[in-house]
Amino acid sequence: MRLPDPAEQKLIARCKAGERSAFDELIRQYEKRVYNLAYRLSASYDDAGDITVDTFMRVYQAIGLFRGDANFSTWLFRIVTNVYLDRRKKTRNKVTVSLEEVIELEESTVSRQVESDTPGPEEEAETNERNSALDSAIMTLPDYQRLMVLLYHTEGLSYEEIAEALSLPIGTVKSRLNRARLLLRERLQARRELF
Amino acid sequence: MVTMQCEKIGEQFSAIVEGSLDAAMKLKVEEHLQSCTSCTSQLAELRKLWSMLDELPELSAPAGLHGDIMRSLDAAMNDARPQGGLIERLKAVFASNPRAVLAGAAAIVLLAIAPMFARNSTEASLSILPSAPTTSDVHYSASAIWLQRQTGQVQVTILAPAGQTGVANVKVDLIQNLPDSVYTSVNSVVTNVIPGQLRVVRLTGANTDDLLHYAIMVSTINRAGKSLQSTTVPILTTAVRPAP
Ligand SMILES: [Zn+2]
Repeated sequence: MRLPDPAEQKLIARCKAGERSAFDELIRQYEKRVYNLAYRLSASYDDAGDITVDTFMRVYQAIGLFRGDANFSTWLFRIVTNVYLDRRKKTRNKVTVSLEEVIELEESTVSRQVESDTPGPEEEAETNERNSALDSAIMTLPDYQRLMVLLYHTEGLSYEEIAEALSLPIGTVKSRLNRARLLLRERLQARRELF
Repeated sequence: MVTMQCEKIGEQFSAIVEGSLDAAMKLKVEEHLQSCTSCTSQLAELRKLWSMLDELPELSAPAGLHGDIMRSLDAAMNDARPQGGLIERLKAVFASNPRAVLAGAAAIVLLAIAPMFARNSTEASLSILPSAPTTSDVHYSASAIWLQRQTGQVQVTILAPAGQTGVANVKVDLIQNLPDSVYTSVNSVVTNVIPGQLRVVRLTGANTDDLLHYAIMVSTINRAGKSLQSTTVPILTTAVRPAP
């Protein structure tokens, strides 16, 4: 478990006091991570924006009750998850797309928005293609598996933190994550040439 | 060839990559890998996948996102000023014990949450009105009764506040209080309320073994579907009708 950051604790205390500028700062610190998680959960830029806004609204409503015994990011990602799952419940009839379709649909958009460290053009194209294939494969995972993969790998949460964020026993988190990784590997078999 | 043993080894793949296996298991795995090309190549692919996942780049947030969040925040901060934050009111409901409240009241009481001006106060007050809403209370009066154990169905009776002249659209939410004081809407329904008439709606989805963690929120909504004002009430558990 990471130690709480004193600067962040101070910022949260100011948020609890209802200081607008403190919220402004807290939101700036986390909006990109929330947006990324929301995008990779929802597979939609529009939904990702809405989920991000809703998440920070819930943060605003509930910040007074954040006790600080959990990491703020763990608590925040728990809220993102709830917001996403609530929305998901409302649009349950949404058609699921196959991996191939997702790749075709998403490839260009994903690679266009990715921030890169400016390698050579060919290398960049290859990396982008690989990452967008990976992104698309992640999006085909079942909700909970996808969530865990994202929290662990892209958000860098520990098994303990994921267990806390999702109210699951740590053994369950570990075994589900293992299954998710194996499933992901399997789904990427179709795009083997990229690896 | 994929065998039963391969499946067992597969369960350990993540632990192998992380190096968190105990010595005995490690020996078993190494032995298997020496004779199984399928597991060996799967494991190599998993290692590759693992580092790709860790290095997946961040997308940049859209330019207008911060402004969108701040606009919603400003609207929420303005809404909160006259009537106390939603969360304080929710907290008040969950802090009150519906059973205790009911002990002193005959049959059904209509509850209303007193408006709270001290937004950061952790103390919340709950006032019980004997029947009809008072003129000073802008909120809806509502009572929520748990009806059915099997379906977790809750019946909510809503009465328009004094001063409401026309038909109003209201949203009724079944709210669940999760750990860490995260509140989530389990189920909701939109209905209309006519002055002088009781409106009854039913919502399902409450865990009836854990009713103290649920409440009902009744909000007025405008044409765009935005919640304007809300009343939150606990679920009264004495009017329980257990499943036959
Ligand atoms: Zn094997």
